[in-house]
Amino acid sequence: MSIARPNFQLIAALILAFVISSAIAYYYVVYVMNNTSLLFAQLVTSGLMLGGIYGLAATGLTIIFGVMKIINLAHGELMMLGGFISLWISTFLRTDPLFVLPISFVVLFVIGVFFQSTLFNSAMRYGLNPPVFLAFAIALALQNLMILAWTADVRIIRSPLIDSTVQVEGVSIQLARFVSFILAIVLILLVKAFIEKTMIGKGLRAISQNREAAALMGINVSIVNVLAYSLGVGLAAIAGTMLGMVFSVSPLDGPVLTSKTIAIIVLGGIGSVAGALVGGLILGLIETYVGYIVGSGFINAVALLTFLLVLILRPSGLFGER
Amino acid sequence: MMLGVDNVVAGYGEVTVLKGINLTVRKGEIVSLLGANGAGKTTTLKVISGLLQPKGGRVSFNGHDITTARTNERVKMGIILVPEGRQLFPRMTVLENLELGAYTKKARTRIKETLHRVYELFPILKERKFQLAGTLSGGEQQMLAIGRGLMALPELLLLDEPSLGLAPKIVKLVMDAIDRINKVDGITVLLIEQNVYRSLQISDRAYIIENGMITLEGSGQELLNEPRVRSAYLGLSA
Ligand SMILES: Nc1ncnc2c1ncn2[C@@H]1O[C@H](COP(=O)(O)OP(=O)(O)OP(=O)(O)O)[C@@H](O)[C@H]1O
Ligand SMILES: [Mg+2]
Repeated sequence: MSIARPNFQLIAALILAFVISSAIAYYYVVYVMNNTSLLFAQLVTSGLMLGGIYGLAATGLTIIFGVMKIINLAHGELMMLGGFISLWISTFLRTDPLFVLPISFVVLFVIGVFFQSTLFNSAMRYGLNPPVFLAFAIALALQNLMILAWTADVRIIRSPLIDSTVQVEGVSIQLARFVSFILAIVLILLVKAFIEKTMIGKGLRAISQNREAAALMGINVSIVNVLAYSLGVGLAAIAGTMLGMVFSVSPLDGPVLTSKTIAIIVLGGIGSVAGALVGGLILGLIETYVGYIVGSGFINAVALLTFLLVLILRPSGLFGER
Repeated sequence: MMLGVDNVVAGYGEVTVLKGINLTVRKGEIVSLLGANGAGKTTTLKVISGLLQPKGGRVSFNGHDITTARTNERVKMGIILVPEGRQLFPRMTVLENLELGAYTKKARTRIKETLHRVYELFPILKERKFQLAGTLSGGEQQMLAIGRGLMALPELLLLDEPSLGLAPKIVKLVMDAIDRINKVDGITVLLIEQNVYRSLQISDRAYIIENGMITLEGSGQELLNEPRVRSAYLGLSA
């Protein structure tokens, strides 16, 4: 995982990505579709806020990849599971889903501990492919279990506390989106501080750079594996709940979310937390532009197109470490 | 006896590399393990440090059987390997690498004094402390690898070819540092070296490993005079 150090090349690349996509969007929204620039400001705000939630989910994925060197193909399903569990607990306890976020985090963290210490731990002994297949199998199993438990219907996680819209300078902001965004940013910064400042976080980064050398430092590699996976899955649960509050959750959304989070970490540089955030923001923006200009049916295609473009233009991602 | 390697058989998958290795290291010694490429030197150190589980035999440390102990447990006991090829954390700074060396609780409490000592041995590391390890020169990387090993407060320091690929001047600096680590800091050393002459000079004892078996053992001086060593490893006339 990369350390916060100014890298002018990547800052330039990001500003470029932001400016180019925004310039094109602005041109269409204002000159082709004849809207006000206020509406454009609206798109930018919603896009960035959605992007923060994506960034949080991708932070989980990138930490798992950094330490275990496997892409968690069940990430989207685990996000949705987190969403459903929040919904279920908040209904059961009659509390606002916002307060249930920590519980949902803990529940998925524990599920992560179970998956890692039993299934992944043994699969990892046979190389890098078996754990990836395992993640895929978990994704399929979870999707079907969620359909059994909650049907394939789309659900909205309504949080009465933040179920309103506020106007700031003429731009209307969905409160759920705003609160989720702020929370997501805070969590990402906390995770970043954790892996950079604490000893165990440094151990996590050490493993991501050289597993054998990390063991030689006295780091208990198996425990750190468990920690990384569970933390990543816990963050996915929070992000999934936030998506449910802003849009909706459905057992069928898992695969698309997995693809999106993969696209984000490739965009931001695999293994980098800052990259996950920035990649998330960019994807959130572009999705929102495309959703408005071309139509919401095209939103999911955008993630995959972005993914392909980044792979072609810069395989190591904008925040690439090598 | 500090370290005992008793009839150890080990290898990778189906391949057996070590075919029953016996060696001992006593407290305070520098012991060299010498042998040709592929003889099994690195494999021996992997078994001692716990990176590789032996198929047979026994490893003991200060009277404890550690054959199945995990690497991190052995580090806690004071067995520290400075591995072949340095294996630094390339995208961390020199200082961060050194701090990770002191990962164990015990080492962490004395991090300041140890760091001071490491900078004393290798002043260049202090100058470069905020530089990324991946951008250091080969010699600086080797000094950092040894320094990182020292940060763990080793009782037994295992060094795998510390002078490989270094310029003669740096080789001397590194070998002198190893000698001082042993004499001044009282750290026991098990050393693998290509630089057979210099390592026999600073060693109390040495083993020759051939094809996964120990074929010769003696004091540094004895082996320097041994005809087989002189012709095969020193390129001198017997
Ligand atoms: N990870 C591995 N998988 C399979 N075979 C290996 C592995 N590592 C080493 N070997 C084989 O084991 C034998 C001994 O290797 P080892 O690294 O112990 O030799 P060495 O004495 O350290 O040699 P060198 O002086 O070249 O470092 C070699 O034949 C090598 O090819
Ligand atoms: Mg070797």
